[in-house]
Amino acid sequence: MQLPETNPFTLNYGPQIEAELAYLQTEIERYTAVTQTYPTRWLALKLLESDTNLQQKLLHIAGGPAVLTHAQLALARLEAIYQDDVDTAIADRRYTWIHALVQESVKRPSSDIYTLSDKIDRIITHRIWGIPIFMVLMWIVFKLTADVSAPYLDWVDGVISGPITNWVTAIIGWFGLTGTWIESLFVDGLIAGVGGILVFVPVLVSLYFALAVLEGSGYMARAALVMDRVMTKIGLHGKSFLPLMVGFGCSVPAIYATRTLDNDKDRILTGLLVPFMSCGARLPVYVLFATIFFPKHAGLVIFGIYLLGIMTAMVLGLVLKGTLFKTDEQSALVMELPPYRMPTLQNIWYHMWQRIKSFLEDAWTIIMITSLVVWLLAAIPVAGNGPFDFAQDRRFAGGRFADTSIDKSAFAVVSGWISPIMQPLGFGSWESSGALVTGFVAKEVVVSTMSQIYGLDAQETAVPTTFVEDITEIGTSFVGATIDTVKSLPLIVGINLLEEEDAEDATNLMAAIRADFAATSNGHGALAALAFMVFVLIYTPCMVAVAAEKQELGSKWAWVSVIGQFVLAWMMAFIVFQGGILLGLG
Amino acid sequence: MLKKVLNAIRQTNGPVSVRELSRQLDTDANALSGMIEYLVQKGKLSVDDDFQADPHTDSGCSCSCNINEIDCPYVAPMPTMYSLRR
Repeated sequence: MQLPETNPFTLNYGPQIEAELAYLQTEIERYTAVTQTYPTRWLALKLLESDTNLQQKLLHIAGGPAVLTHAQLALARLEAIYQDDVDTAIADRRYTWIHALVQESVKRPSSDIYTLSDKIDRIITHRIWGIPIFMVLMWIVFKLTADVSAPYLDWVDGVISGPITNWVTAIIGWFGLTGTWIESLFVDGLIAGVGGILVFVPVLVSLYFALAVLEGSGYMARAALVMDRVMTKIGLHGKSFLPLMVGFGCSVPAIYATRTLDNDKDRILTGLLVPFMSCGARLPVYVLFATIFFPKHAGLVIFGIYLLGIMTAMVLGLVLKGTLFKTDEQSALVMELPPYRMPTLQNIWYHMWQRIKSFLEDAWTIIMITSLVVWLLAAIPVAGNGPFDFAQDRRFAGGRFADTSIDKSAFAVVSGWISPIMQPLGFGSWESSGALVTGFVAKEVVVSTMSQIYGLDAQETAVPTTFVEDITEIGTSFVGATIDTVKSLPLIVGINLLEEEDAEDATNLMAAIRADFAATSNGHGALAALAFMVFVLIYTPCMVAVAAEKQELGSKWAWVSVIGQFVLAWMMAFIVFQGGILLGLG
Repeated sequence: MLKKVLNAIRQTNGPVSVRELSRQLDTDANALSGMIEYLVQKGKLSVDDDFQADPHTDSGCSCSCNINEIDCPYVAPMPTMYSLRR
């Protein structure tokens, strides 16, 4: 069947382009070889669009090079008019025509214009309501992290300090090594160090579960949009939010993410602000201290610490942007937001597992090595006159290797050199100072070190049990933890169904930390703990983050970060502790 | 139309979503995405999608830190962002 002949449609590209098209068509028509190969108007248009493929082909056709010369002349004339690429002007005409055609011919129902996602976004990403909604959601996340995971935290703690320690001790006993440095290495080094941090896996599971739900639902992309507006308001580049948001997970990729900023000043400033976003590694420290000193408001305290990090970054950003990092550049951003969707269990599990796996890998590498170094230093007795003493008898003040009093160990002596600096902050003991020093390796190591050194001071009395009793205890305590977790869910809305915990329920480690902080702060233990948390939030980033800063921002700025953050952390902790005492708090 | 899109982006006070921008310009969001892609190809806009969710990567996200062989499972997937090139 033959289709009826119709007038071919020709889009009008405007007088200037049409004039050059006509000029080029005339020139093309002079060369038969060219016209026999390509339609004239189509070829003229493609040449004005600078189609490089076609330009190459024309070079091999008789008359082609001459056509190309004319095309270059036409292009130069049009570029002078448009002050832009001609192909963009051509594309612009096409899009304008399509838009006009769609406007004339398509009537869309309002449900197409405002989808369910759009309707939710009108509230969630609202310029005013968006920020409080974000804050409330984050508060729920931390409440869930601190309160709901607590029963499982106690369960893991019980399993590690009870049955696992018993089994390891028993195995060592079979080899006749009881009371030797090998037993100390396993119990005081590996179990206390690595086990001390593994206790916080349920906390991280809760946090990563909540974050995976928010990510899977599409909310985190909206949070980026909402917080981006805040960044823009305080003068930071809009894109600064991306690295800062990444910083809540880990500072290292966040520092590398500053590469997305084109301007050097914006990039360096954002890189310097990233460590103020509290990374996941610092969470175990907050949970431990909030549980010990603020058991009824642990979630709120942790949320407050995270918020303080954000506020510090904002104030610092505002000050530095107005002084050292002044730029006139304005940012304009368009974000492609995914539609809201129901998070799938598979997706939630995948993201949770990836993060927990990474944390566990850290536990078996960085944390284990640091724990062994701490154990070694804590095992080396130091003689009264100074040099390390490996004496095999007790003639020296320090005692024998791996059988020394912890406060006479090399670790205590080295940490003791730093502790006077921390005295005005309320935590001037060698234990807390030593833990902070090891935190430079990785922030979660602060907890494993505390677990080791306070653990050595406060060994729990082991009650002899059989293997069957241990297994039964693990099972029953797990069921108990699950029941308590279900009961703790209403805590998110402030309803407490759990029985009040006795003070004696606190582990020996918690009791040792509480006693130490009370002693070093003249009875203001809670204030000293708060100052300690603020210090951990702000002080020198971990060594991997510093290496990333050196690579991305340069040595000078890496040093600024290391020293500047230490000084700022000291000042802020000082204000919290001394200011709190002046106000009669704690 | 492309100029209109560029001008609208220039005039936005803070970040804006593609759908919000499409309503401002009274155009379909998919058509606008096409125009944005064209502007990215032409170098008028830059695109940041390094931190987008990518189910095919082992770590659950593809981030630029991979170039330094640092895995980043902690990184939350971020939306694709387009910004004006200077």
